[in-house]
Amino acid sequence: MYGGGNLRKHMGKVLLSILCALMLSGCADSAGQSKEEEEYVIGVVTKSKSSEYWMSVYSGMEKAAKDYGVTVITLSPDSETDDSLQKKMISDLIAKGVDALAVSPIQSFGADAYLAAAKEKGIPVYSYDTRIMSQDIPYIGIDNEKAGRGLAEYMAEALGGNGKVGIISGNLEQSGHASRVKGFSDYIEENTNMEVAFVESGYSNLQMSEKEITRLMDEHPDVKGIFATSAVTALGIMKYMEQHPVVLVTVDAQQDALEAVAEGGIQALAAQSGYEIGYETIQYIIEKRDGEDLPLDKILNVEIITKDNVEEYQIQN
Amino acid sequence: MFRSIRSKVLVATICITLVTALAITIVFYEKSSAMIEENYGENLYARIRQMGDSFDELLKGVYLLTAEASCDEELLDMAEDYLSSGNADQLEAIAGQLRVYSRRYSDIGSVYLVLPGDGCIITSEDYPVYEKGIPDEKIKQIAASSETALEPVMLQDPLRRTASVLSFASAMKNQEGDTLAYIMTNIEERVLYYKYLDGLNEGTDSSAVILDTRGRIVSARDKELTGAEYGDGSVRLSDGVQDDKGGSSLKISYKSSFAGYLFFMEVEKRTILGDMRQIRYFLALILLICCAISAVIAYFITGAMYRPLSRLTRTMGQISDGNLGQRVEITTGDEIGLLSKDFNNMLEHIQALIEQLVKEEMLKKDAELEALQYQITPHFMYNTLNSIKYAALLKGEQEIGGLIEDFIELLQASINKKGNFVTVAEEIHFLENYVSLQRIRYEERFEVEYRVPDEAAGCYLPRLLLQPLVENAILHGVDMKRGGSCIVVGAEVEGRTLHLSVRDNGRGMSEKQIEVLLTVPKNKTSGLSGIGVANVKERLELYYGREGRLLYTSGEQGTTAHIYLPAYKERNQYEL
Repeated sequence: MYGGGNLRKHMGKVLLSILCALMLSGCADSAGQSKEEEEYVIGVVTKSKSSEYWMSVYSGMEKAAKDYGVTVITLSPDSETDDSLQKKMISDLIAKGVDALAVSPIQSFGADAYLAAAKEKGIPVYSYDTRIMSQDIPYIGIDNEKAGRGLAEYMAEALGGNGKVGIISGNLEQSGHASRVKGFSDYIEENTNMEVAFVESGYSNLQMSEKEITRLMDEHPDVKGIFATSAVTALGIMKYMEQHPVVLVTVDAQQDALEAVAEGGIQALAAQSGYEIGYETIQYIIEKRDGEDLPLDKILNVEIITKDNVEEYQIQN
Repeated sequence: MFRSIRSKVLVATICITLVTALAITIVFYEKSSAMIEENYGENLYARIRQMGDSFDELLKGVYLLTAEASCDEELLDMAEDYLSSGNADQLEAIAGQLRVYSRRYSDIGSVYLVLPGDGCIITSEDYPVYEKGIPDEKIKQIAASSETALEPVMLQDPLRRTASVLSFASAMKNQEGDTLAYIMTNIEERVLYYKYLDGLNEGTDSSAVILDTRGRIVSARDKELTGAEYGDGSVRLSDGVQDDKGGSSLKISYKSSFAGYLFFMEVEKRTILGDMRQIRYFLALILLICCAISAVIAYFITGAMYRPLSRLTRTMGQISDGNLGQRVEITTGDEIGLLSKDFNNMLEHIQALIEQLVKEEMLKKDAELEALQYQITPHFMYNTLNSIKYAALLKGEQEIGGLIEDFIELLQASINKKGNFVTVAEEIHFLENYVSLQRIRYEERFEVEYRVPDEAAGCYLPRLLLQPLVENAILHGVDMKRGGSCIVVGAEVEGRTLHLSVRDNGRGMSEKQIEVLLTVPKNKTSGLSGIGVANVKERLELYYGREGRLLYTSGEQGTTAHIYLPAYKERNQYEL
């Protein structure tokens, strides 16, 4: 037949290309979708879950966990006073056998029991937000003493370096609050003629009652400024200070506190970003896991926010 | 059936179309079903994840509740008080406190406070408020599960045998760190199923299960399965949609982050692709239509392509039947057109060749005839005789001169080159010359009679056709010793045939003599007489083929020679 061989060759080619197309289409979607990898679980214990600060910490951790492909189990006691519950959570996480443990301790001291248990199981422990007062435990967070000094500096400037100030602190067994108080008091003592009239402690997210504030103010009527070591406390005090105009400074950049700065209820705020602390904590743990040589402490920047720069700060964040 | 090129091309075209359309259809179908599968899988995964997340949320909440209750100092005080005093009122108080906890989540079935020393369980339920004498092994089970307080365990409810529960247990320790009691929070398996799995099963014939970290069933449609290994243990604790190639089902799983429990379901692809059936019919229909259209188009295209080819084939058939004048009509400029053109050229060439061949053959015959004629008309004889004739006339021998005259005329006729054909009348005249010569030779012992009607006289015949026959009649048919010998020369037209005859009344001839007479001798140079008759026969055949015949009949009455040839009045009709 005339050209029959050619025809047959073409047919072969056509059939071959059709076959190829079929096979390719078959291969295209055979890539598996499931991931099969040993999970890296980080147990996280917070101090509390109710405040915006802690929610932003949690959000930062979730983001980092997603970025680095690890799992974060977060446990939060209801309030910053529930030490025994927090310790129970920590030991439960250790019992579960998480790969790493990040703790923001309600008590910076007395962590030895769970640190020992963790060490026994080979679980590295990290502290964030608040330091665990033990050697070799890394800390991720702001320099609380520096934050205290910064706020004292602002206070001294605002009051012209004279007069009495008061401190309302969270639980002083937490290194964070203790350091803030120390930094603040030290600066006042060393650099000004001012005087710390009182240091009232034990309040963090448990708000002070009006009665107690009134009592304090009655006892120290000449106090011109108050430093509250946590924003939640400061916001509580703020309401009762309308008849006693004082300079109010505090820590934690949470939304309502920032609004209070903008409106003038709070004069200065040492901004620690919960999100940043949360994110940096997970990042630090991952980097440590991967064998990177890191300094023991990861100190994050703290910014003093006043009415002048509050808007700028809010835009940035 | 598939013999013609047209049907082959038609079948090939349809095959190609079918294969292509089939391939496209299959690819399209596979692609779309894969896409549907994928979408379905993703959709289901989103649902399962939602369920898994809210389940995880519940577990986390229940854990926190359990942990909180185990750190509840009030509860601890009451328990301590009861343990030291044995005051049953404290049990009621504890139960009241447990109820407060159990109300926090609607999914919680019950909260128990287990006093291991007493074998006593105080419940958050209205009945029983507490129960004593719990077997040791149950207590141990609870104690063991409190070691890993973050992980819920599957248990038989220690108070109600039939119900399986998912429980969190946590140890309650006093100031010294001794375990006084356990808090146990139970979620009923059926609650889990209806709240988290039933919705997933809706609309599919799948059955979703919750598996714990070791691959055991926490909850499934069939509650009897609780605690059993799932399947053959091949379910991997992975996350996502698993589509085993070639498998009949889609496996979807989601691992919750807090408890690490796996929500798993397997959906038959058959049910997913149920809707595809309609598309399949639709595609089949399109395929059919495609093929039908292509068949129709191919039919017409091949028809147009095939027409010149069939014309060529038809013409070739006619030519092979002998009709060499036929030519192929050329309508296309393609290969078939070229082929037709070449074929026509070839035919022209063949015809030219045939004509040339015929012409050559004729020339050859002509030459042969000429040679034959020369055998009986030697030229020199004529010249010599003319000299003799004049010599005789000069000597006053009028008779001899007349004789020679006749002979010359005879010879003249035999060597006359102008036309090989003469009329019967001319032939008779020539015959008369010859006969008068012979009569002198045989002393007029025979008579010759001519019976030639006018109708026959005008017909043409090859010259010198009758002379050899007459010569033969004189030689063999006339008895010279007795008188009365007569030769009759006849000519008549019988229809389209001219019949010439030479009859004698002599001795007759035997069959063998006639055969010898009609056979052409091999040596043609044997003289004027011997070859004549055979020559006549040969010439008749050469000129007229089967229509020219020479026959001899012989009997006692004598011998007759018959010549049959076509009667015609034009000189040139049979000219070679």
